[in-house]
Amino acid sequence: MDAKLADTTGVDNPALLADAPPPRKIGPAIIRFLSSPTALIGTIGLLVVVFVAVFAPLLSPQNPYDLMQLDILDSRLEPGSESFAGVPYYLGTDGQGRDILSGIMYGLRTSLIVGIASALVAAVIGTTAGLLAAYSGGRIETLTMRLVDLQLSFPTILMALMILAILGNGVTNVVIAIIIAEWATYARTARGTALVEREKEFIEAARCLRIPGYRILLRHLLPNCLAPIIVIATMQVARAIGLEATLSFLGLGASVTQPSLGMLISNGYQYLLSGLYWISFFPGIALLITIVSINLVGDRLRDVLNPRNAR
Amino acid sequence: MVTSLIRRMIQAAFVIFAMTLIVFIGVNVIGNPVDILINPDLNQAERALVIKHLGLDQPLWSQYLSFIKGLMQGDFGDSFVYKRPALEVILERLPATLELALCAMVIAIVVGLPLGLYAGLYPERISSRLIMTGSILGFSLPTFWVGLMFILLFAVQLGWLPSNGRGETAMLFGTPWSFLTSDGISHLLLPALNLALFKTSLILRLTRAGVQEVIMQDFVKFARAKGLSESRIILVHILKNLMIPVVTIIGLEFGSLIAFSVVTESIYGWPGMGKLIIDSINLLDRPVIVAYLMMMVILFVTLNFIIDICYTLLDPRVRLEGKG
Amino acid sequence: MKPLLDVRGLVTEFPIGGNQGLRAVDEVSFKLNRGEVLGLVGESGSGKSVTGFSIMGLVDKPGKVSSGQILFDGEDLATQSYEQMRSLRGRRIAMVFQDPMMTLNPVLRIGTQMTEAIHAHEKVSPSQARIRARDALGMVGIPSPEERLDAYPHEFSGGMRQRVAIAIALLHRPDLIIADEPTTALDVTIQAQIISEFQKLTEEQGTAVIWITHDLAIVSGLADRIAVMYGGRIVESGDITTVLEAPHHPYTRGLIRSVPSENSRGTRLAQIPGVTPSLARMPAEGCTFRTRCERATDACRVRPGQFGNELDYHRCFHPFEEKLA
Repeated sequence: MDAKLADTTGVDNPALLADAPPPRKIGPAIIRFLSSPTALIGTIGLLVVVFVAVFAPLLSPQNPYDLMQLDILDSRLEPGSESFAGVPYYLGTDGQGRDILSGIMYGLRTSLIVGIASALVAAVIGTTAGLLAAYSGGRIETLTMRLVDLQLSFPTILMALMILAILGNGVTNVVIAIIIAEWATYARTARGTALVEREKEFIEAARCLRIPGYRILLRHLLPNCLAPIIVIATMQVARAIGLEATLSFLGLGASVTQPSLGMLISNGYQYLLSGLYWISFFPGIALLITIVSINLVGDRLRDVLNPRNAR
Repeated sequence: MVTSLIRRMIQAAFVIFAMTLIVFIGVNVIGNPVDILINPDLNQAERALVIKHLGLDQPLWSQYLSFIKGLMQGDFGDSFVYKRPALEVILERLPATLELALCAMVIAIVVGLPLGLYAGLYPERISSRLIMTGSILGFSLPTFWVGLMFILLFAVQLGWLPSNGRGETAMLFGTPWSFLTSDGISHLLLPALNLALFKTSLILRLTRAGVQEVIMQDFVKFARAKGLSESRIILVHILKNLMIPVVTIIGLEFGSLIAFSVVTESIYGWPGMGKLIIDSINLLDRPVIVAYLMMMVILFVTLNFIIDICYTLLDPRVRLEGKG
Repeated sequence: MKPLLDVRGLVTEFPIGGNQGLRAVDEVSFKLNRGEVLGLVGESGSGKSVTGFSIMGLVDKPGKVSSGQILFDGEDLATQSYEQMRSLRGRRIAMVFQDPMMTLNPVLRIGTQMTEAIHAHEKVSPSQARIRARDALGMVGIPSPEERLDAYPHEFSGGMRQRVAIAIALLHRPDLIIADEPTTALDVTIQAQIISEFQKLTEEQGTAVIWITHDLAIVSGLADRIAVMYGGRIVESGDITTVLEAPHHPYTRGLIRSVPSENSRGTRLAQIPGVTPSLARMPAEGCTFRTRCERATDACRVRPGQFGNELDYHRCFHPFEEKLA
């Protein structure tokens, strides 16, 4: 008997039905993300930090930069002491009588803004550069990537120092310095992933169909590099915050009127040897919590978004 | 291979050239060189003299040429603060920085490599997870804050180690080194540990990632299929493959270590180049700044170049490419 | 005569969350006598390679052999300790892998990789080991073996590398060699050479071979017996000539008919309808092949047992009985 070609969809014959693939949802992805205990801790930490930073004026017992509220007699008080007016200084005061806790809250704002802004702008610039390079190919690509290689061979802090030496101090300059120092990482990653996509034939097909270049860029090349870029950006926020803190600590960054956590720590440096630890210690803890939280989240993001680690 | 060597040298020279342009433009064009390079205390007549002496009234390209000429001879002008040639000031601080950086690098490798190897080979164990979490802490903690806490703990509270300065040094090859005296070592310990923390975590994570990559390769399975002992597989097969990327990255990180010493040196008052540059930036001692930047550029370009060569030597696949 | 290798109900699972496990090898049973050549045939994903790894104890974590017995010369390999297995590997059971570039460590010299295999199981002096390695290279037909010992893998061509792999496998005169698609990555002309050399050497030494492949043509010239795998199960097993002439299982029949040389010019190439689903998408119950089988009925929803005897059997409720046209 001749064999008939069976119906490949197998709709009629119930014995031929196999399972359908499950639809993708965001909910399960978030649950999977949070299933690691470290990621959970990191996310909670991050939320707390952001909350405090955003609502600092409402939450802090004192506005440490309003000179009217300060009393020099309250300076260098230990944690737990009270001011003349009876306001508790939970974490003590610094050399000018400023409440450390309030200082931390306001300082978090500056640190976070610097970190997020610089990472974001660097990400946009770098990704665009990388994608354009990959898409254009030829001379433009080679030139751009040489520039990227050049920049990446110098350590970030050196670049930042160089730029600050030229531009001068201040928070804005720090942001600019970080952006210039960090864009190259994004460019390299973006170009790398775009390169893989570019080799695929459907790009060739799209070109043949005269689909405009920017469309190809946005629709095809961009989505593929988003995952690693997001991971890198997250980690970079942490790095930027740390870098800004370091630069401010060295006196090159934030100003006294709008200090970041780094500046606060720097203020406390001179009192360390006398044993007045709290002026540097607590802002440092706040910085630590911020950076560690971001890194934990970023680490987990990397595991979740990596197609190879399908766990 | 000789051709690629020459090619790389040309590339390196090009990079240095580009950096001289950038530094020159940065200092002489973006900032106002008159304000920057001239002592603000001078009066009008003296300023005119100095301007002439420094050649600031010349057209830009001519200034650049004299800059380059000075560069070749190692002449960056005199430091405002020290009243001596800028390069000299920097070079006498070089050994201190090198010593600190080397010490930190050694600590980072000796601690980070084995731990990373362990964590990569046995990732499910609790000890491995602890190590990895610890490493996240290691590179999240801002170096300068850790430095302060070290001082707080070891110097103030416990009083075990000194927190400032370099201590006694002994001479070797005509330069003073701290590690040769016990007092010097006690001064060296805290800053070196501080500097090493970040790098240790980095090397740890790198090694672990490397191990996980290598382990997935078929030749590991094949080595097992031959009946080789586990220790031989780890120590010979895995480690040798691991070394290539790890060594190159360690080389690059060494450069970054030197750059990052600016922080540690500032905190511990370690008299190296890093502290010098920070002070110079704050004091606007521009000749020193320029000299430092150029030195670092040359240092990094040379470092990258050496690493490229090492990479070629280590990986037998790359080595023979030039012959073909 | 007791068989050299007696695999009974082997199950190798990969956990995929929860209690579920993906059965890459689903109750596989076969026997192999000394000096016999078994062709283990199937498409990618059929579980043939995992079967080989399971026997060697080299299944990638988190997969593991979850039940069944692997009786090698009377000893159950599934229950052996790591050290016991290590002592067997390379010495009594050897393996040749598919991609020779990947199986040789690129940063170590060929000589090193050969002598270490010798040192792993025998106490010999380094010079003696080197002589043996050199002779082994000569045996597989590599010219100027003395110099080649100091070469690196990338200096060899694909065919040469595979010869080296075979030489390594034969170093200790093993009782069994598992060859996992050893010629798939090579040019057709080289393939023929390698196969014939391999055949010659294993016949000389009386080595039993499990030759894992998707290529029926290779198997037909090489093997004494054949086992066809689909979806992790052996769907047909038997003597090579019998199975090729009169395959019972529809899949076997489809496989044989789809070989281009079996089709006459001008007629449409016969093909098995549909596409092999991935292991996760196999039908959960009953015969794994039913979604593509033209003879499938509701009866096929029940898992078919082994019809036939221990050596020659098939798993099908509606087998073909007549010879191939």
